[in-house]
Amino acid sequence: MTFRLSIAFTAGLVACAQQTNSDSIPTAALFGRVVSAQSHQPIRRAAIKIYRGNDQWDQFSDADGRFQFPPIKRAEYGFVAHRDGFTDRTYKVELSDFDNPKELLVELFPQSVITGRVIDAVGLPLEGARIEALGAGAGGDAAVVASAETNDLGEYRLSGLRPGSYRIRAAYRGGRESEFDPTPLTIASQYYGSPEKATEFAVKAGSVSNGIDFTLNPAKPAVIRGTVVTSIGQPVEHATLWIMGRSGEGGHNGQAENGKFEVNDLGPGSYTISAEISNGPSPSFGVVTVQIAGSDVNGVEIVMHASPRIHGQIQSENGGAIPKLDAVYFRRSDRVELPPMKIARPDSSGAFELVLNPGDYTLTFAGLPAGVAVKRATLDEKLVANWKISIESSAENRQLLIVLGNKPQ
Amino acid sequence: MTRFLIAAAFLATAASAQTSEKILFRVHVVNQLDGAPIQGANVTLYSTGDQKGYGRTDPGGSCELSLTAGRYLLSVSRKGYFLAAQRGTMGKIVEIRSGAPNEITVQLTQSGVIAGRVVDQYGDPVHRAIVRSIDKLRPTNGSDDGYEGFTAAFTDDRGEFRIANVVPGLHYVGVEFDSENIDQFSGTVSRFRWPRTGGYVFYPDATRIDEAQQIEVSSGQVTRVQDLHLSVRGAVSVSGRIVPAPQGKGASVQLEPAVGRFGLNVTAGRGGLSKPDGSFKITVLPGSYVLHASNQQTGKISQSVRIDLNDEDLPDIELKLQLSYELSGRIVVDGQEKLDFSKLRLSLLGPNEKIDSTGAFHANLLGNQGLYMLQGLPDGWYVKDVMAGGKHISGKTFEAQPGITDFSITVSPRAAHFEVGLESGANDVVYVFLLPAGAQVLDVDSLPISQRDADGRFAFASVPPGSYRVFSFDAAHWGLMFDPQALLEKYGSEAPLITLAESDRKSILVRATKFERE
Repeated sequence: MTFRLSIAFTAGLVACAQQTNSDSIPTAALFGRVVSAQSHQPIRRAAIKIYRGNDQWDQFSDADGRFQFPPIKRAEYGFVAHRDGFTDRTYKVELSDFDNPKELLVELFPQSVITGRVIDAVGLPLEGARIEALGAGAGGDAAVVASAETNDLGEYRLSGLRPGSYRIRAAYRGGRESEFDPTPLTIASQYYGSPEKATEFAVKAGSVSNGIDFTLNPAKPAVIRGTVVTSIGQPVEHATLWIMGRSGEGGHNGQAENGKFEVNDLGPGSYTISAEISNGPSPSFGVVTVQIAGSDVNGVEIVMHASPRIHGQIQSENGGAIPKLDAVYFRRSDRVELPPMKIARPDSSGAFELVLNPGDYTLTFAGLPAGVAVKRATLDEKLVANWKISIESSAENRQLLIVLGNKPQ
Repeated sequence: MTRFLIAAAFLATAASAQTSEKILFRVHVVNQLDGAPIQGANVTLYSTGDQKGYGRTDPGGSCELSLTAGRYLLSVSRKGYFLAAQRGTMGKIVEIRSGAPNEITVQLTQSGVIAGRVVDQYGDPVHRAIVRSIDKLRPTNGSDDGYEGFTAAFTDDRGEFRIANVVPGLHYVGVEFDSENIDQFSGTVSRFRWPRTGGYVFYPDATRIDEAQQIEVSSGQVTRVQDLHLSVRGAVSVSGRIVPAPQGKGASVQLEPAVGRFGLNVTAGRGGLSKPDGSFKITVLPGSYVLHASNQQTGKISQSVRIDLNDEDLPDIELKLQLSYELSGRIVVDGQEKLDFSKLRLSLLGPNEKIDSTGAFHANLLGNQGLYMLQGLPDGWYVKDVMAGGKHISGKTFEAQPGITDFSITVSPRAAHFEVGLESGANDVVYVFLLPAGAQVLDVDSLPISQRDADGRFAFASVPPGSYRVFSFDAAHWGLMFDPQALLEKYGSEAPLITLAESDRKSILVRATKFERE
């Protein structure tokens, strides 16, 4: 979107005075005012940036929300305003904007706030609990977008949220804060809403949502111990583990060696442990879900099943040179608690290879050259619709063909 | 394993000899001020390095645990409270006996809260500023300018803060804001790179801690201070050239605060390397700094330049690498004994220096202040004397003169050997600590300390001659050793005094040093 900007022409006089070489390009001073889109009050200490290529200039708004840049050359610029607590606002300065100098009104939308309290099972405030807002988008994007900690009253204010939907999570880890701290380690975490499933929470621009309270019951962390075996019950030598909570929280790696694994420091809740062997002649995958209720869980078994190896090839639509493509992303779209993505990087001949575990994936492409688009893809000669593929357990290799061509003009 | 568990492990002997009969042990936790019960306190009993019992107090402040007879380290903790005994106490040694009333009352002192609001020069709230309660540190290693922030809180979007868990007493309050921290704490990070902004202030409105006021914090009370006004300013650049342009990796340029760090990160100064042509540019928040450059390869340094930065960049500074502080050093053996110098590790604020077969070494200091660390002396040897520029030095720090300073470390193979045994009933002692009697402790890191060996004794193989107070700590009190000056002042007269001459071999029996009880 283009906003008209205010430019005061100085006919290049100031700039010429600063340069040794005469420069006939006229310059103009860019100025304006930053206000809240809601209250229309001035926003002070806002940072304003204009940029062109590698050059950029910064200014701050003053007590009235006003800013002014030194004279700049008549050209196209990017423009962005930023203030903690508000959403960034971007504009584009066009050549035509230099024809009508006037004060630019920059409106910023306040970010939203969620407040609440965290208490333990007997109603005492939990100090130092971490509250996180996680993106609630499709495809299991559980990235933390804002966080806060509770104070000694158990209260928190989670600010800096853009309008949208979030899942709100509270996590507590107390005790053993130093080598001198005798307090036993206890942990707990919970999403807002049902303990079984995270509730998506919508916020509007500039809103303050109060009363988002949590009751946590910190408990001694538990350990999950188990075995990883092949489909005929043989222990696997080595497998990489991925451990994740029910709603995609706390994802981290682990290892299984000689058929055994141990995962430590887990609070009460549901965990999915997936095991993967992607190297060697027989790639395989297994998964198990374990419920923890305050005590260790032993004897968990993960049974591995074959995963297909994908042989990929980039092709040019017209049979010419293969355009360079940096990477193909296979984003998991069916289960948030499994490893979220696999990446393949084609070599100079456009070939690539990876192991895909059973599940649904959405393909995206990174680093396409300018003017080049992905025209179609086929998996075992079947057209891939909407860039979505479904993989089943199998020891058979699969063939993925990605055809690139010119973007339509 | 943590130090806490290591200490608790020494309670094993007594506990393991007992029967497996379970005995009820009741703990009452109360507020020291008014005796009110404290709910939700964590009660833990340890022995053999493991947690043997754990519970939380009920609304009546009580907790019952079922344990076998034996000696335990009882620990009680709750956020917002600390043990009413002196700081450094880890808990209490308790003995649980069959057929005896097994009940104890533990007093906790409630900490205080400092609350307030931080606003900027326009009166707008400052979000994500860090507010600290700051205390002056006890002088250590001869240094007397330390401040430390022990508890802290962030301001919220309204500029409001609550610093909890503040020990009752007088404290400074310092606020710092640095926009570079915001990306770390905010998920909604701008994708653009923004200029750094920040600032700091001490309560009520001071930029130097010696102009600040302390505030009184009382147990269980919230002390609300008036608004703190923080001037948030943009960073400015300091740039110039180092002459002559250094070869290789460039010279190090440091911009250090002129008035101390005061326990705030934002006043920590900045530094970097110059470019091959000698040019440098450092971006810092406005304030008073000392700028200097040094070249580690040549040992040349510049004069220090004091600069006061307002809101303007400071260009065209020339730093001449013209000074040097060289040490012509030697390690000297007092006597005829041979010493393999290749086994020694000598550090002078940098990597280990190369010591030749005669004990000689050469070093460049990057300033007139030096600090030496000598390690690797064989058992039975000690550092007898250190001289810098013809003056004897105490502790580890010394001052050098421009040019070449003679530096010598005299080591002797005639350290005293000292052994401590425990009197009957002192089985709980886990560490023995020797503190020089009647002298200021200048070198905390080198104080003789010994852990109990398999025979239950404490051996010191290389004690320099002198008079010492012998402190023996049980698992509940060993944390006190981290404040040796306070130990000497409060308990020095109760600790046995020993005097050791060169080559002495002495041993004594001690009981556990008696510290204040609840």
